[in-house]
Amino acid sequence: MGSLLEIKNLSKTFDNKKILDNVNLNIEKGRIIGLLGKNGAGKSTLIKLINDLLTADEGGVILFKGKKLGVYSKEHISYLPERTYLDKGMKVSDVIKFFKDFYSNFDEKKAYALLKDLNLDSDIRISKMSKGMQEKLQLILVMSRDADLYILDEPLSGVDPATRDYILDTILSNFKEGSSIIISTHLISDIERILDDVVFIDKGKVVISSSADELRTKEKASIDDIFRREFKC
Amino acid sequence: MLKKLFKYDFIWINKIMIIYYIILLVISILTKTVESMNQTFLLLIIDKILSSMFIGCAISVIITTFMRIWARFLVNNYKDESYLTHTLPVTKNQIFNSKILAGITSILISTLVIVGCIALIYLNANNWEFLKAMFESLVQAYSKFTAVSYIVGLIVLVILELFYIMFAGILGLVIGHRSNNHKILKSVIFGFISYMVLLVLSFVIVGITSSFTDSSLIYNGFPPVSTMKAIGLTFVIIYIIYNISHYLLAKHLFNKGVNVE
Amino acid sequence: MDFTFDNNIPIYIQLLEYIKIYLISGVFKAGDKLPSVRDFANTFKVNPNTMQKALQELESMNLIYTERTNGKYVTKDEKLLEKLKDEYAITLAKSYISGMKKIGLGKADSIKYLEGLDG
Repeated sequence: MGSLLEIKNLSKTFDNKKILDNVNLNIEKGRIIGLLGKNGAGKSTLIKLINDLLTADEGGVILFKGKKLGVYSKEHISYLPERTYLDKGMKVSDVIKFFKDFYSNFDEKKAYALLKDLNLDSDIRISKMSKGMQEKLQLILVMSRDADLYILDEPLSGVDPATRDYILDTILSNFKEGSSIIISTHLISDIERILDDVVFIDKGKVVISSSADELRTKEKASIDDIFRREFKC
Repeated sequence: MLKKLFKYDFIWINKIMIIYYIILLVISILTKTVESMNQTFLLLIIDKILSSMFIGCAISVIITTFMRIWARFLVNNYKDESYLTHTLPVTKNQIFNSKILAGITSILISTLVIVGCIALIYLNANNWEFLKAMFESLVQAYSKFTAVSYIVGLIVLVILELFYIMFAGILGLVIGHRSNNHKILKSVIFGFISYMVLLVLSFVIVGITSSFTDSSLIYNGFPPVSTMKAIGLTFVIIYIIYNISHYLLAKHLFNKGVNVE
Repeated sequence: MDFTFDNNIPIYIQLLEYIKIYLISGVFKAGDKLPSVRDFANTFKVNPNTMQKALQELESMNLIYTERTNGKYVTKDEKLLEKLKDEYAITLAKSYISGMKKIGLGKADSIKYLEGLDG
């Protein structure tokens, strides 16, 4: 079976510094993958490359369902970046309309239902919302798409436990069946129980890529423990 | 998809412009009203104030139009919003073209509004006679056809010049954002350089063209038809080439991909 | 209810234990329809893939079965569930006895302690 996402010889150099160093990775269909690494290990860089937000060094290849990045991959990848990216002048309802305008797989009803759970008024302007609220809105928008691959960059950093539960719940109960999720994080214990596969990244290189259960059985420890052991400061 | 992109780009640029248009229109109507009343000393002063307000407002309409076009390009393509823009299921070409189209239409609208307001204030029977007289003196100097094409050419040139300013700024932004630091400073420098270099170049070319002209042919202070035609045409061609080359170069560089912060 | 998982052990094995207890205690009775994989996963707040794996395991133990279009059901074989309960009870009892043994108490003493407790 072909991979959902295939990454070959991917490098990214910034100011003569290799942020990502010859990454090779296969993401299969129907898996939840943890992209794990310390801050600055290259997780975000890898994710931005997959989303066409950075240009790769010569020779790097990213194939989504066998196709080069472009309109097709963007239609079927739903990406939650670390930052708030909505037009601050828009209302919530405008933003939903915007998503509906551009993404044919965006489920407007689902988005409104999820907003209702949050008690978020759709007439409110983005600029009037707290950063935490904007992040939740973005999560709702991203999870309201029937995508083949969801890429969530640090969805849990800097949130309180209640919000963390809300975020994990929203992800698990809304992603399209049979699709894959890549979650990048440095807070592993919070999410390791939902991971099928783990990819450890350090200093721009993939150091471990394995099924989570195989790794646990092999090392007789939790992913979090293995991570701490592997990347001791 | 281009249509949808254009809609959002156009609205973003013009939601601020509309306020300027309304202010300009209000000033025009006030000026017109004041001028149509009996001219007392007080009204004369008010008239002068309104006129200078009108000029100031018209200039700021032009400046703000450019600022909004460039700001849209910058914020939507390279700032936080870029994370959404570049992950939309559209091509880089569509993103680029939509912003250029929105820019061009906004410039045209601003120009039209300003010209319309000027006409509203100043176009009365007397002025109309004056314009006609000016036209006629031109017609005397040249053939009728040339006079009209002279005016049309001038308008085309002004609009091409406005487009060119926009393209220079956008090329500057695209080049500036290819590097990793001092992006805005580099954008401004590249934009300014590309504008100045080609401006100087165009004067050189026009200088060369006119140097071929026999100065003895000057009639009533008007250069001969052939020279005016040649200079006008050269300018128009130069500007069209500038605009197209700037457009293609900026689009080509933009298509190579972005590197967001 | 909040489910806690030990991250050192594969999650599907822990899920298996939780569901077995459901079957033994009669939360799901013989022949009952089970929730969909997705709903089930949501209750435990786990990955549907992991839930699927746990259910497959239960199916291979014949504790549940799949009806082609209707989803998954608890086995109708009550004897099998009885046996499961029996095995589970024995395991618990054994672990109790061995715990008591560690603190120097024999079987008779252990039973006495049990009798002192409310059911």
